Amino acid sequence: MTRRRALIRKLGLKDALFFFGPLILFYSVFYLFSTGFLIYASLQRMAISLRNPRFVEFDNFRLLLTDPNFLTALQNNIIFAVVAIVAGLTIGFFIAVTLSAGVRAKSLIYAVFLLPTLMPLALIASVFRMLLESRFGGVNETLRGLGLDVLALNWLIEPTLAFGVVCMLFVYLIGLPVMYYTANLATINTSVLEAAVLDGAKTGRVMREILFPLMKGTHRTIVLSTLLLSFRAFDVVFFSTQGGPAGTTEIAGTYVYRFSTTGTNIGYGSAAALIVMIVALILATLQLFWTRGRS
Amino acid sequence: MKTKVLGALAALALAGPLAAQDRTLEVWTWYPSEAVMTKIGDAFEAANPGVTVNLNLFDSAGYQDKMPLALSSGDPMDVVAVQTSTMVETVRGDLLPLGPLFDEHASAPLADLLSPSTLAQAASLASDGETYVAPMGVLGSVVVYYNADMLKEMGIEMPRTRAEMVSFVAAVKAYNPNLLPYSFTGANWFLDEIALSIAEQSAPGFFNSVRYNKGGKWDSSDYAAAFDATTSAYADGIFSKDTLDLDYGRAAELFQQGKAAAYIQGTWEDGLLSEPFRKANNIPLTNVVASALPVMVEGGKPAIRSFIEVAWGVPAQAKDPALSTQFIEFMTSGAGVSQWADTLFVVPSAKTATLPEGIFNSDAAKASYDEISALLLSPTSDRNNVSDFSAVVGDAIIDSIVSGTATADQLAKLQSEWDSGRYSNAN
Repeated sequence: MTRRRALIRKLGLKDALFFFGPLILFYSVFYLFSTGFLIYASLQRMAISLRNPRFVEFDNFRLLLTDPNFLTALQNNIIFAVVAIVAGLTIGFFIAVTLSAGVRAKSLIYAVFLLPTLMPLALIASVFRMLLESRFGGVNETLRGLGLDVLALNWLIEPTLAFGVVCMLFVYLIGLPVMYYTANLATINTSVLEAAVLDGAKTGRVMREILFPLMKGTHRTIVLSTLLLSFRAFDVVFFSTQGGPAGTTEIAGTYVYRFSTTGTNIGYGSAAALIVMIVALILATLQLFWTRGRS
Repeated sequence: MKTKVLGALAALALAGPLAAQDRTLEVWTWYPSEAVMTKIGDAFEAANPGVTVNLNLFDSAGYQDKMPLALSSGDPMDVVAVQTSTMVETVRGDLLPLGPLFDEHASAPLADLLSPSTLAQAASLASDGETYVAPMGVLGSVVVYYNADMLKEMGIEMPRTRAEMVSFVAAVKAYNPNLLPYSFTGANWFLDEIALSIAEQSAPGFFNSVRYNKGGKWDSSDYAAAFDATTSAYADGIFSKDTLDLDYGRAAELFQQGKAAAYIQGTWEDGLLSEPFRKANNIPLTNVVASALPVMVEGGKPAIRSFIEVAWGVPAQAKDPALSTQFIEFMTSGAGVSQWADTLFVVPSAKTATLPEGIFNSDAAKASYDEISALLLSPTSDRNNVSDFSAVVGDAIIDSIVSGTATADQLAKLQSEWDSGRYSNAN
């Protein structure tokens, strides 16, 4: 302890600048510039050439907040985030604990759950899209082959089903929580568990009352990382439903994309991106305060 | 033709006594493909000894971002391709008017070289009415491509009306129930294209009247008829709901693989009619014919909305505007046309363009191409799309198909969205 303190005292302002200076420079160029540009652009009506911008005050924000499609997109963002978090905290937790209990072919099963998280989301979403195609998709072809024509539904065409498919995709990407929990489980002092088992606690009770509360820190990490990941899950939605049918599964990312790619109204897209950033920041801050208060 | 680096070396080698006469042409474009552009560059170099053509090629989306920025920051550029419907107004401040340049440096004035409808569209793109770009050609939507071999086996002709479409679908189902009669992407933007084509059949000029604020309304009876015709085609089984989850590539694939009897898209897919094109792109179809969308409303006529695509302009920073002008003439109406026209991506706007021999393997295919080209060169409206709004229209159509929302409600919403100032029509 004393040695470490001495070492830290040696690092003066100069050293700090030496170590952090380049990083701070890097961050300020990329973060401050891009955020600054976003704020500037959100107050203009301008095309991608950035020529002849017209200052329109808060018009872009007014138009955005009166667009039901944008509000639906934000709401969907939150719903998908909640789905992903709940799945992570329940299914993810369960899988991690089960795997750590020494199941056979542990590494293989672990890989099965982790792999989707390591693959490009665009690829996974595209594969889902192809499999779920109503006419020639693998899922429906198989169902029809088994004589289960009733179950061969219009997965990506009926709004409710399509919404469910996107939710399922978010659940499918459960690898990260599993990884976090697995890492945390490895550090838990097993004597606590032994004591509980000796006292006659059953597996369910050990999980619920000992393991789950013990991993408070990991829950927090998972909630925050999943929340922020869900806000960037553009590729999941874009490559599966493209935000359809008729905007049912639109999220902020696909909404911004639609307006930015036409290239004629960059300001509107920037305003939308800015609102999304603010919402994500507020949610993340709330979440931090909430968990800090509880612990 | 040399690569960028070699071109720079050549420029260095020429420096000195010839420095004032830099004969390197910096060409920026996203179309045609590298192979075709290289051929064109070589041909231009051969026709103009001492000139080096440097190609700067991009994909379409990247070009949209990079070209306007490079142009406004004064990068060395001598000829630039311009994406017509989105770019002209934003970049025209950096382009030279083409009229005077052609009068002075080309073999003939613009009006003698390119067909009038394409020049009128080019001039309409800039708010000051000047012509800043010369279009390579015209494309439009929508058209229907048919597997001619299947039609023959079924003993049925290409449908021309809604009633004939109904019989066509019935014939396809009887022939092979696993076939999709009409394959096309049910993405929102494309359903908008279909509905607008139908609107143009009974109310020619409808889209222009809305697009250019000449009294057209989305909640008019003209458009209501088209909207209903589109959704009822689904309700009556002419179009299958299965098209709604097909994206562009899948819809094309199903037709090419023989899993669909017909394919609906824009005329930029005309390559399907060409035998060499099908071979070069490994498309396993042997006979394809096409027509405009069959007439789907009472008393209508076949119609296509079309617009100029891939237009060329001379940047203000061009080193030698005379040479740039000559390149544009070469590309749009000169010897360059024969290098790219066989892809059938656009119908050339050049008055004198002729297609090379051996493109069509049947009279029916040739007749299809001629019929479509004639409609393209006399469009009822411009296909000058408002792409962000197009998605809104398409979403309304999808919503009515899957949830049965009443047309009147949809159209009232569309009109108020159109007026909201949210979309690029408000620029």
